[in-house]
Amino acid sequence: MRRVAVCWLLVAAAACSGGGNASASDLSRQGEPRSSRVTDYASLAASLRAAGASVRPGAKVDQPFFPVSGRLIEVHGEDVQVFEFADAAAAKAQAAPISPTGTTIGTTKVQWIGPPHFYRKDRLLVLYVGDSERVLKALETVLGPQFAGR
Amino acid sequence: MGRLPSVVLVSLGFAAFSSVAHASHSWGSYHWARTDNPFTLNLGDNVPSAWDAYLATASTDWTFSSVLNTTIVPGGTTDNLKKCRPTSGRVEVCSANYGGAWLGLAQIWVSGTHIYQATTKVNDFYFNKPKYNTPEWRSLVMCQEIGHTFGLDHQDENFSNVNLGTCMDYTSNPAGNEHPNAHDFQQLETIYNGHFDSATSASQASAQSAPPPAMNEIDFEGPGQWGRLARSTHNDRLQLFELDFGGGHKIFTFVIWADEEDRGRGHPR
Repeated sequence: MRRVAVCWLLVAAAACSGGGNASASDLSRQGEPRSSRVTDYASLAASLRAAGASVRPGAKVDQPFFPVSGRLIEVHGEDVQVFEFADAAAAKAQAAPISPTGTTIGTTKVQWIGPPHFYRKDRLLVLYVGDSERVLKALETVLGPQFAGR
Repeated sequence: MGRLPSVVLVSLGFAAFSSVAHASHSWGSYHWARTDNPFTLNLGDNVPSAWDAYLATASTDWTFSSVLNTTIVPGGTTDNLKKCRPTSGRVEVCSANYGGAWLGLAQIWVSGTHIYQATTKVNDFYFNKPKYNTPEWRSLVMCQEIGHTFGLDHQDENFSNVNLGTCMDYTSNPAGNEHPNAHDFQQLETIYNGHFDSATSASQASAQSAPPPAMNEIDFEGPGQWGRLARSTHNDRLQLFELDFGGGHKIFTFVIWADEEDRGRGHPR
């Protein structure tokens, strides 16, 4: 059997992501940036509740392309995946190789069960796979516009 | 029944569209290094029987390509299917209950633009549910994930538009999207006909990795079954026999003979 010894490190193809979070939708009706309060799972849940969403905590979730385990949060009955990184820079680094359509993460191709939507806020990466307008609106209100997805 | 129609459809589709040269869904510039076409890529079978027919169909479908062949070989990642450990030079195909909101996933490991190993995972969390436990969904996902490992991207990522008739098309209704189409084969030709490499990153072990059945049927009772005497030392007390099955498959039998006067010749100690 012929094999090729490979000593190179994997270099993920970095697809550009918008990355920007700030938008008019970051602002609540009172003009207060609601999303600025979101720094972790608990504050995300609290902000979603404050925005009028029904929220329930969920189980652990793993994705092969993220180095940390995440946790599900049920928003209006739909599963949303929340990944908490050490700091905002780490979250930004993890977001970098996610393609604009959300179907490629570095050198991984994913066939989602529905349209993917990626959000980044502070040290969080949030993933919703689905097309519920209520969920999308709640996430955008709290996290700002998606940086990748369909 | 299922195999012939799919083969005919793929062949007809290729003939009908062979003059159209607009395929453009490569995954970056990623490709397997190889010195010639068609090259053979081994697909490691780490899936249970429920997936075997779909893996076989996908392998057959993709082998219609003029630039590559695929061969199913025993899987190399049996210790942890969820992790699906890659094997250099081939594609490991795994299934498990992964969760995570995806049906299938393909990962490639690259050196520059050369793919040197890959894995595909099909997610039984969803395929155990009635919605996805259908031949159409299983065929599409298996076909698509393997297709990615050749360096193909999706032809389309809109879940709601008309199906393109290829497994490389996102869809909410997989009927008609279970197999590759002419566009996919054209793209493979574009990727792999452009140049050759000085070495191959795809293991050329298609005939070697699957041991011939005879290897499991050997009676090791005596030297008559051990093949040729390759080496003999220490006054013939240490001997090495070699039984060659071809394709790189050999069984070596090391023998330490007992003293003749103690045990008599015939069996290793």
